[in-house]
Amino acid sequence: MSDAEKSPVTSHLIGDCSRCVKCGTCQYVCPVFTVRPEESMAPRGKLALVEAVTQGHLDGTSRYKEYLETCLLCGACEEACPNNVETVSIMSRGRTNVPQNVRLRTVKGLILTYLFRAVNVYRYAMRMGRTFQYFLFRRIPASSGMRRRFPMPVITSDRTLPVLAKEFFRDRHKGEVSKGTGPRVGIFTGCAGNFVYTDYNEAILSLLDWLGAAVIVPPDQVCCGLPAFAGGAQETAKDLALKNFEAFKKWDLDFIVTGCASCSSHLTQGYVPILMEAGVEKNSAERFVAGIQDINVFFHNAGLLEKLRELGPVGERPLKVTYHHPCHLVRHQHIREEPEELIRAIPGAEYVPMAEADRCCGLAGSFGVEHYDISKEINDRKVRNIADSGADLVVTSCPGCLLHIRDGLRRNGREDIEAMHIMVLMEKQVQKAREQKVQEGEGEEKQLRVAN
Amino acid sequence: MTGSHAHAIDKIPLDGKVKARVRSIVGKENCSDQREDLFLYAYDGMNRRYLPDMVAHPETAGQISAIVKLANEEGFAVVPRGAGSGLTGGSLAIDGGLVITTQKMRRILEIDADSMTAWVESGVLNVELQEAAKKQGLFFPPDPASLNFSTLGGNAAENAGGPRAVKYGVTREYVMALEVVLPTGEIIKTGSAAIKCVTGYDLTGLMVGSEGTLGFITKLLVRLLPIPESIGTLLMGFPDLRMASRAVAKIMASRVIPSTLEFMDRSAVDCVRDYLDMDLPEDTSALLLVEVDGSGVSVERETEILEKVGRGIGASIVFRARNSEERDSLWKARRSISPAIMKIRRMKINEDVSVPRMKIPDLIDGIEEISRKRDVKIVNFGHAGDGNVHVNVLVDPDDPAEMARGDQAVSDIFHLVVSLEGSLSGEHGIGISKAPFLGLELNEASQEVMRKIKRALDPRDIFNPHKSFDFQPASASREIPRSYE
Repeated sequence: MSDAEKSPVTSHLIGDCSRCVKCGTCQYVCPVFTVRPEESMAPRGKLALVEAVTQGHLDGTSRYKEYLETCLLCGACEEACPNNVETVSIMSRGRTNVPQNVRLRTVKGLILTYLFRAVNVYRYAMRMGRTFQYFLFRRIPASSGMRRRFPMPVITSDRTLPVLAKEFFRDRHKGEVSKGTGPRVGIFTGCAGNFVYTDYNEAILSLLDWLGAAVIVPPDQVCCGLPAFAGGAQETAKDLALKNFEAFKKWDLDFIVTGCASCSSHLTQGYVPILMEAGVEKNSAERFVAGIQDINVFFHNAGLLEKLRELGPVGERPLKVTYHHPCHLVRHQHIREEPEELIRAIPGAEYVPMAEADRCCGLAGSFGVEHYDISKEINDRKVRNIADSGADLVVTSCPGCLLHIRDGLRRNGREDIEAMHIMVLMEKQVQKAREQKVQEGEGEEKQLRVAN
Repeated sequence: MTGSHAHAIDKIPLDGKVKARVRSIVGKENCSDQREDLFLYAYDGMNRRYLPDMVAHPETAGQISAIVKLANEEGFAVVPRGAGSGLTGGSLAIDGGLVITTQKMRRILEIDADSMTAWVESGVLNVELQEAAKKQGLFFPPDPASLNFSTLGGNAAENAGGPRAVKYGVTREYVMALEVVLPTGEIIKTGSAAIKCVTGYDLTGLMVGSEGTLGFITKLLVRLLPIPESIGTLLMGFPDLRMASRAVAKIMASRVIPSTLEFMDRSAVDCVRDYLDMDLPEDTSALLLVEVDGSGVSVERETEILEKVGRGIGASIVFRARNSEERDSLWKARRSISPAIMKIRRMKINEDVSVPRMKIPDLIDGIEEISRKRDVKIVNFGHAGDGNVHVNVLVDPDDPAEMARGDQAVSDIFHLVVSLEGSLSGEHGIGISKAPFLGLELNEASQEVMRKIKRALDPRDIFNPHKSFDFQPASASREIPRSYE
């Protein structure tokens, strides 16, 4: 390839790939390679392919694309790499290194490009899904834009499927929903938290209320855009980012919090360049992003730890709680201590760490659908680690991980171990502790919102 | 090498008919000639690329035997490959041909806790054996840096060592018996399950370290040891390297055999200073990381002796780990060298020379001189206990002049090593990267012995040809060049 033919992107790609010296360190930590020990599954193998295609030695074939897509983007290889190769970014960019006809021939491509953009159609599709899910479960996937990020209605029949919420979170709570005197906090619900697992957003709302925050749920917020971005539908990702920017900006917020690890990861790490490309000034884009926090971090810094500790013990025997670190928090945002410290402070909970707590659960959005067999095997290891920890329940901060872990627990006959969002557990225990105090005659006057 | 010595025969690429026969032997799901797959098996840890014609993943020794017989009939090259983590190009298809992997031969067949042995297939990873042995209170002493991803078959083929070699020795000491497919296709068993065995030539010893040129290892019987009860870890800093070297001699003389004795010279210390959890005195020119293992009582006693020896010689800092977190933090110094090096230059030429251990200071002095003369940065660290030094010549691949100076420096270093009665490779093997220098260390007669052995076992020269010796740089023309921008 002559210099003139090289675009800046591909020229960077070769340089970035060439940092990989093929030592093999990444193989041991890669969850996919561990269950499929073949070079095509190894991070270094995928890098070799991106390099060969970018140099023009190899065509961007559908086989190439398939190998590249058999990757969780969990970032474990990056963390272990002695040469700091940015494999996650190279994989995402490498996937665009494929001719149009190979890239966008899937239904997924069409969904990513069109459905997410048409916000009203998307919401309508989810509503229809809610109504008909009991009769026509398998028809939902075709209409659901959540398929990529959150593949709940799946083609296979042996998977545990969550049920769409009877009332979506943003239908129930709109605008300024709690008029506390503290900081003004906006909730970014995330798609999963709006349509399916509304319980964690109810819990966040309740806990924010308890802290005395003014809580706002901007009604016109949309999907964060990560599924579109990761799938190469850049225009859609830009539209969505801009809609969210405008939806939150008008409420004059001190913080924007979210209980979805993937959303917060994309909002904090992806939004500035995307917004700038959409015409937002650098300063305002950066200011917007600076106020966004994962809910664990927000509560940790906002003094919730002290408030939790004041509540005192609950129940006769503390619940043994273990925590699964979502990739989007622990590696993509380096958030590790905060959720662990919060669990230690939850009344009536005892934190029991599991082995390999930060190893990917195996879902990784649509990976869990397209490679369910690999995904299941990775998940089985997670379930073994959860069971070996001796925990009564496992909590996490990502609705995707939660879905997958619940599925794994059921498949392995370990439904005795409960799985829930960390905020749901926290709210439940706080509720119990406060009721206990009321009975003991020292309760606060204001009652907690009852989550359902 | 001159043509008269080599019995090189031109290799014939696999045509459609031959590929179909390979397919019928291993099954079509266990082989591929798709270009994507060829690129995936074109490299190893040496980071060079040679495309094979085909890659096969057999499941049994019988299948390998059938393929090798076919190769003898048709005249194509076969290249054994484990995890592809070797650093000298031993698993590269430099003549094209068929790459045969062990990735489908990954069963631990038996662990006998009473006789402390294990039968494994050659594709089992070192770490997988460690984890299985640990459940029985046992461990496999060879611990190459690649233990988390290299195979036992590869460890045996390269006779891999590691930090524990100073006390426990290298892979050869732990391989009791092998199942091997010969270059002519016969399957043989070498060695014995009995610890003492002198029946006939030591074919196990011949195969271990033969870099896949004399046979394809399919099964290994390895020796295991009980996991020591306790480990003691010390980091010592010295204002000059000769002092550290005297400390090593003194440690050995004090009747303490460390399980690990790693050193870093000034260049390496400067690299890792920022990564450490402690402050090092400014004048620290050498670090020793020392470990002892054994019963709790003996570890306590030996750690005290080590501390005393270090201070007696004049260590400016002696730090003893009191728990596993502190131990990890000390090891961080050693582990952070590689990432630190990569911040200086994008590429390192890593050579693992070894010298008699008291000559390490002479080696390092000589390397400093070479570094000045050739104007390249060189970082040295390694195993002080056995004299095995990792010499890292740092170069910028975008700078052809510096790359050339780097190559000259490597050549200078090999000459220096041989003049110090050392060896070109302590643990990485010769492969293709050091083959051109073999004559420095081995005289013509001893090379001829090796050639005779090779010819006797591989008369058609189809089995991992041109590796270890008689490497023909001409075949390097098949290489797919790297590109950095």
